[in-house]
Amino acid sequence: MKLAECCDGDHLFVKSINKISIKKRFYEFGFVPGVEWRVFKKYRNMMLLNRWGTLVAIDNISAMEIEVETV
Amino acid sequence: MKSFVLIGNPNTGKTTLFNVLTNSNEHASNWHGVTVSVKKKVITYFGQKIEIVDLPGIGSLSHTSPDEKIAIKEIENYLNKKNSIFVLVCDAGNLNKNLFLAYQLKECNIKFVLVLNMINEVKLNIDLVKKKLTDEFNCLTLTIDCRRKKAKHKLLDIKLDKKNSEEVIKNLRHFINYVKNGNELKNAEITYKKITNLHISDCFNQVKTEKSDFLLSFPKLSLPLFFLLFCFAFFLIFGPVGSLLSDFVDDYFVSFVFDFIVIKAYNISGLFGDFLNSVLVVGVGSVICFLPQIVMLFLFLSLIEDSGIMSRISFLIDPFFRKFGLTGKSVFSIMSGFGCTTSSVLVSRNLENSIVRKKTIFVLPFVGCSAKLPIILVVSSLFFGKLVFLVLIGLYLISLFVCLFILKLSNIKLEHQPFLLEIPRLRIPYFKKVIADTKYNVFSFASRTLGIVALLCSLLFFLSNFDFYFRNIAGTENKSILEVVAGFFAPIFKPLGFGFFGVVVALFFGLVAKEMIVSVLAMINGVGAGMLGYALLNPASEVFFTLPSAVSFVVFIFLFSPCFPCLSMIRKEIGLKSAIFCFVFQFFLAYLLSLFVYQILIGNFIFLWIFVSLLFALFGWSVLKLRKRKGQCDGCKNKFCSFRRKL
Repeated sequence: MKLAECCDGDHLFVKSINKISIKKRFYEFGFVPGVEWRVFKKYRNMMLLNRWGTLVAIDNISAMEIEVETV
Repeated sequence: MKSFVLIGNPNTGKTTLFNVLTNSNEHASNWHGVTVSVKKKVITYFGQKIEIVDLPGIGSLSHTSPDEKIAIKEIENYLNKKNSIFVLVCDAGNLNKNLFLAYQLKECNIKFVLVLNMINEVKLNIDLVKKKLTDEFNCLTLTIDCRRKKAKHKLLDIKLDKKNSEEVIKNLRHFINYVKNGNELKNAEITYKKITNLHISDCFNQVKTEKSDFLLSFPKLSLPLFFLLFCFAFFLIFGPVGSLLSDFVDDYFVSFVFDFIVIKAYNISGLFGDFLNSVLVVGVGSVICFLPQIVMLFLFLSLIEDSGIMSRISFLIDPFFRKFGLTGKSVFSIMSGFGCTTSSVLVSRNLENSIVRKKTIFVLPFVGCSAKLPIILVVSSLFFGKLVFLVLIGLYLISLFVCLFILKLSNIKLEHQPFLLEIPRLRIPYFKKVIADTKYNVFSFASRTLGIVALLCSLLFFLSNFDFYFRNIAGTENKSILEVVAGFFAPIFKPLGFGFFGVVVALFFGLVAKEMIVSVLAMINGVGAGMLGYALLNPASEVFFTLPSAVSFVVFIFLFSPCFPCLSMIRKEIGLKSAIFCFVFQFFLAYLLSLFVYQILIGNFIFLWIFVSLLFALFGWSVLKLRKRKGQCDGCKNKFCSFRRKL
């Protein structure tokens, strides 16, 4: 499923990233297989994700390009 | 000479550590990408000269933004020098992400010292973490709180035992090429696997701010809350408290120190006495008396920056800014613009996309910098008295909306810009740091004022007291150089309500430094800042205002072209053409808007009709554009398309 389709509190693992111009930045932040993320809060245009206790904000259009699997 | 090169992820406290090591006051804040250029300083430590280098933050060794490019280039430079010690500064509260860079340095065989910073914000098993990291990276591991002086000795006592070999630069270049050639994911995956296997987060008990984050990240609650916070701060700064302090400085400091001690006590009279009075009491004094308000503004900005609120505003405002081709990250530059536009242009280096960067830089001169405040406060308080803070809030909002509207009109097609931002922890601002930041900002403002303003006031005194044959015009009917030259251009501003030669001079000197506008008006009218208000209302003065001309003048000053230092910075960042465009465009925009404001306020109905017709035309154009987009949206399968939701 897509990251943008996840709900508040979901724990997930990233599977792959599709059409994003700066994939490198996403990899740096830990959007790679094997890193567990949690959806902290979802808004209309944004998502706040949490990993290792730190919040990361990502826009929903980018989140549509990230394939994840929830656990 | 030994060199300590501070490297690390953004917002890990490198600049704060640099300040502690070198006793400097470089700008450091609680948001990503504050440092965008390299900072170097040589210090003497127990008789030994040591160079400290602070680099912009990097997420990894392969760069995307201009500031990262600078950092990587500088790492290569210091790898060439034999006595360089690379200090990898990590945020102890976000160690897992910070170790990503550590693994990349290890991959390139770069020797470094690992510093765990902000150790006070996490509870951890220090010995276990140190042992794990030392074993894993084969490096020295230190734990520090970069805001304490102890950090200095801990770090500078390190001896250089492992030097980087010449092979390392080749390794670094090879690694960057390897990652850029489609191996980004592979490298990241392997690295994060190593980080997970290290189980470093098991040793931490991090201070959690989830509840406050939950509340602060509600757009409908936090955006009005932040707006109210700004209004309250403006009320304090430009309302009763600020004006009380400003009056105090004018009455006791400027009048007493300059007027009494410097001039009267030494009984200086004649042309030199006039010169000192004009330059110190009238020129410099009229800017210095606004220093309390400037201090309060910098204090407020420093508190906002250090608390971590800026990043939250950035992510909340991103959807709104996107409609104008900007991103939430532009907020960092815009907020810095409240202080000084020139430095805020530099801050925009942390934006990856060049078009977004250009657009952000274009917006920055529309944010009223602190140097414009004195003249706006003087002229606004003539007619609005204690409500001057509302005038300022209104001006900031109108100016920003005018600019965003123009960006909307520009219609530059831009592909979707991903927004990805790490939100720093909310923290209570560190008192000493906030005071140090404010002190630094105020000192630089004051030194600029005392330096440039005093110099320009001296030039102004000469130009306004001598004619083209260098004869003193005092007591004669001859016209000064200033009167002749500026008088030639004065009719241009007559339709705006302020066609005085004094205003032309003020605007010209304002291009060198905006603080000069108030000084020039005070010097031309021959009064200090305390009496300038009365003089500007007196029709017998050289420069005076009525309500329509005062409003028109304030609008003009707020939107007027940026100063030369700022234009030079824009030229350096985005090119000469853009800098010239900025200058010309802002001049004509300021001129047109002031013209409309003045003509409508004096009851010129032709301009009112033109204004109303323009509004209708714009409304019609917007409706047409919206319809066109409706058609586009049908083809757009994006679930989160904002247009589909609206229609």
